[in-house]
Amino acid sequence: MTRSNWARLFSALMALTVILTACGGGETVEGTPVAEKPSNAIEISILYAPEFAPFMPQVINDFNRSYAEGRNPVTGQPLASGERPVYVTGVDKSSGTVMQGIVNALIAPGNANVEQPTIWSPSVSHWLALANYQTGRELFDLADSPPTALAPVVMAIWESRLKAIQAKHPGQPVGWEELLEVLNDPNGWASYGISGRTTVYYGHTDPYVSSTALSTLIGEFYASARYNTNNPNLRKLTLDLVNNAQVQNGVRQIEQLIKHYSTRTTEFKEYIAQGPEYLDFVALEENDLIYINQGKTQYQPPEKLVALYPKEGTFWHEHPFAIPNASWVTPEQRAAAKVFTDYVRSKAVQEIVLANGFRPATTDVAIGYPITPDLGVDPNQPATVLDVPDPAVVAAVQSSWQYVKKQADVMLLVDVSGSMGGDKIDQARQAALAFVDKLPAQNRLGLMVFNHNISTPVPLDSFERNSDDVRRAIQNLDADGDTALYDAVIAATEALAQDTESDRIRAIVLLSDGQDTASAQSLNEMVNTINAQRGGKNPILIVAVAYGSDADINALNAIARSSSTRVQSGDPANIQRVLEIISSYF
Amino acid sequence: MTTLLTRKAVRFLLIVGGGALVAFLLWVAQNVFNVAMPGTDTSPIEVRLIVAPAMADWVTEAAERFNAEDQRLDRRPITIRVTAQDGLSVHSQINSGALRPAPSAWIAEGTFVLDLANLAARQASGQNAFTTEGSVAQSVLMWGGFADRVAVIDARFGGLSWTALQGASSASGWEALGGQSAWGFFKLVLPDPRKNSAGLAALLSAAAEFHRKTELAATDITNAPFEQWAQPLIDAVPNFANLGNEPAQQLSVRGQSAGDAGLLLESDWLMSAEGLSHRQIAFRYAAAAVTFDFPFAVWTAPEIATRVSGDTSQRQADQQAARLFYQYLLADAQQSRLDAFGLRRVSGGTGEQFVRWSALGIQSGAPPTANVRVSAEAVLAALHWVEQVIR
Repeated sequence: MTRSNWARLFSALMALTVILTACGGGETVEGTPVAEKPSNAIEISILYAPEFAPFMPQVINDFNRSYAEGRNPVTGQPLASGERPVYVTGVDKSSGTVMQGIVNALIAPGNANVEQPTIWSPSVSHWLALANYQTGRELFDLADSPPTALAPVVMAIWESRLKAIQAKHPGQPVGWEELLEVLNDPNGWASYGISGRTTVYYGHTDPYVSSTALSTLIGEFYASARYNTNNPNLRKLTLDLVNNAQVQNGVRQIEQLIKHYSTRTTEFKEYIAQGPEYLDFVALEENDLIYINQGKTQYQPPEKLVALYPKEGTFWHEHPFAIPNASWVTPEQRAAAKVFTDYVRSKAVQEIVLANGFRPATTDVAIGYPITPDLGVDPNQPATVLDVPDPAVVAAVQSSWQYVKKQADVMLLVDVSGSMGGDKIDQARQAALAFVDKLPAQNRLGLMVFNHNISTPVPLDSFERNSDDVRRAIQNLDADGDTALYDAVIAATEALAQDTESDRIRAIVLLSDGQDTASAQSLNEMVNTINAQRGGKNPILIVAVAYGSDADINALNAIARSSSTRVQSGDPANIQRVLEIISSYF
Repeated sequence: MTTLLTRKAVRFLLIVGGGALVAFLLWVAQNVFNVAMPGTDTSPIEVRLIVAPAMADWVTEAAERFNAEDQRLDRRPITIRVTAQDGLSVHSQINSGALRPAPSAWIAEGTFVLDLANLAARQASGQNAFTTEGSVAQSVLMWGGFADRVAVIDARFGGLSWTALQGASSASGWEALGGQSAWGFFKLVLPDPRKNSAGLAALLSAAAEFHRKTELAATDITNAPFEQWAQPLIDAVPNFANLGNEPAQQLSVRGQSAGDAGLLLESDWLMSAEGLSHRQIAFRYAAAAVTFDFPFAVWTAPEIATRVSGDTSQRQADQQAARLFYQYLLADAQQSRLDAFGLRRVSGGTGEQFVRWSALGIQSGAPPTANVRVSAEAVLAALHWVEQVIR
């Protein structure tokens, strides 16, 4: 063959390779190609809790691949004559948000949040009962919504803290009664021989969104009802108790020790991993604690986090697979959903469930690693459970949160230097407005802006009085001048620090895109100012958002380290979402 | 002339013989090779069979074998389609007129729930929906509890009974009963009686013990002293949703935190015995309980005619095919498989499973449990009662 012919042959082979790669390649899930949907497939959808996100996409893809290859994934057998394949699509979403979306689908279909899944898997069946209660119908058959993974709710507490409590109560089981003693002790951790910060820092997520938070809040009401009304043998929480002023006040006192809230446990895990300096204990699902102790968070925990299974009892989160009795689910889809449910409850998938830190929901897989004491958990616990209140009581607990939760003073601090011009300032305005819209009305809000000057267009005041002024000021933001980042942070910190008697969360939400070019004070002076506010009952938190690629990451990290927070990153495309998430901290 | 006769005779014999041969060949074709003659109905008969969940795996296995054997009725192939559904759900659908298309047959949990469904049918249309052919298996409600808890109850109340558990439910916690404070309150294992036939039957058994009788009428349930006595038992269930329709399995995976003791179906306990044995479970037979006799009942209400286009012969074919499968289930090959699913034969016989777990209290022989008979009106009254007291 001549040289030119070889060249032609080589080119043709290369072209063929490219074509084949383009055809055979494409999307993958964990390295496995995404299964194609058979043309006659019964399509079903599933919304599952965020804790399932690490493994559910692969489970779904394996299920779909089996059908694509002509096999029933449950039996492993070739499809029978007339048996249609099933194709599943799924996404993770917070249980509370989905519940509202499904309820809206029935009673407010024009709402922006509407969900119509074939299968819904919240973390816990409380949400199914709430959905039934809110729609006034049996939307979900709780008895026919089988569990797919089990996780008890625990109080994740640093080993040093738990040992200190146990030392004070040798040989006694620990529960809410002992935690309340710590919370109510005027000397805090000092009474337990722990040096350094005496104030107790506690945390949990939003009970309107997060299952763990809802279960925890119910647990707080139980604790308050038992110990604050001298009713230690209370078995079941009632509406009267939830509405009792003394009980509510007890819960309010527990909530006073909140450092800040968050929407989702998946984000909270990263905060707690920073160590006892950040939080002393936080409510988590057992699998989340295992995740932290396995070192899978960005920060490596400085000591072991252990699971406290409160002696009074806790709740099991069962991750049920529930099929709504709704018009958007056909009989064929219902049958197909049951096939997928059987698949998720099969031995092979339950082994995956266990590997991800959950307890298996069936007897096919025995409990083993990682449910081990080495990772801070006890496979023989929990010893007992709390009675699940009636749905009306759960709804009352949830709605009471707005009145018992710790309120916040929030100073929005926005960089309006010249580098923020154009699209950046436009998106920042929209994001700041969205932040204000999401902020609960019980909080106090203020707005400071800075370039080479620092000004306070709207000083801190109640949301009711301030929100319109803040919105107007945001609309008028304009970008110009240099950047006095350090001076601005110092000024905002000092503004919040003026109220020394505050029993509120105190926070600065800082949005900055550039390097400091104009401050009179130094980075060290800024860090010292922030550090001076640490350790108190209500330390000033600074949540710094690095806006764009030119943001001063070093300075923002220094700010975050000083106030034990994390720098959030945003750009014009996602800044609104970033600020919406931050608004959930309050 | 003789030659003529012979030729005629030969022609006659040929014609007759030929006809006989053709008839024989046709008979062979129809009866050996199932070839359908023109005009013969060869459409398949699909038997839609609803079964109690406790039966579902056994019946499904049998149906797969039946279907694979190409069983026919008048040369029409029969296919059995099995759907698991709790009897209370069947009753609810009959009540609301939603049981469409009507099934060909139903294996209910017990005569008690079949009678309940027929009561609803009579109230709606004046006649029963189902006619019983006979039982296909047996099981019995029995006590199960974690050994450490059962020991405390034995010491305090003299053994497992509804009276004992009512006492445990009324106490201020296990510590008051002589148990450990870490155990919290007594937690009754009871599947949701609004949805689960075994849960409802358990409460009916409680009523029988309360009244000290083995035949219950509606007035025994609507009896104020009974309902007042039983309320702590209802309150002792931490969460009716938590254990779902597989309470024994959930006890096995969650342990004592999910429940302490309760009256469940023997087959339910047996199917989870392996896991439960690692958690120190103890089994006891109740003195009296509602029987689970799994009656096979054929749909005989007129509505089935609409499902098969109003043709009486089609309805009869449906019923006959269902009865064929009923007979199939009674055959030894199928009855011998009941043991694998924790069930007793229709004759009461048991197999290896029962021997294996005898150390935990399972008995191979006839259980020492008196049968509690319940009128359909009593079952209905119980259902109304639990729907009021459980929210």
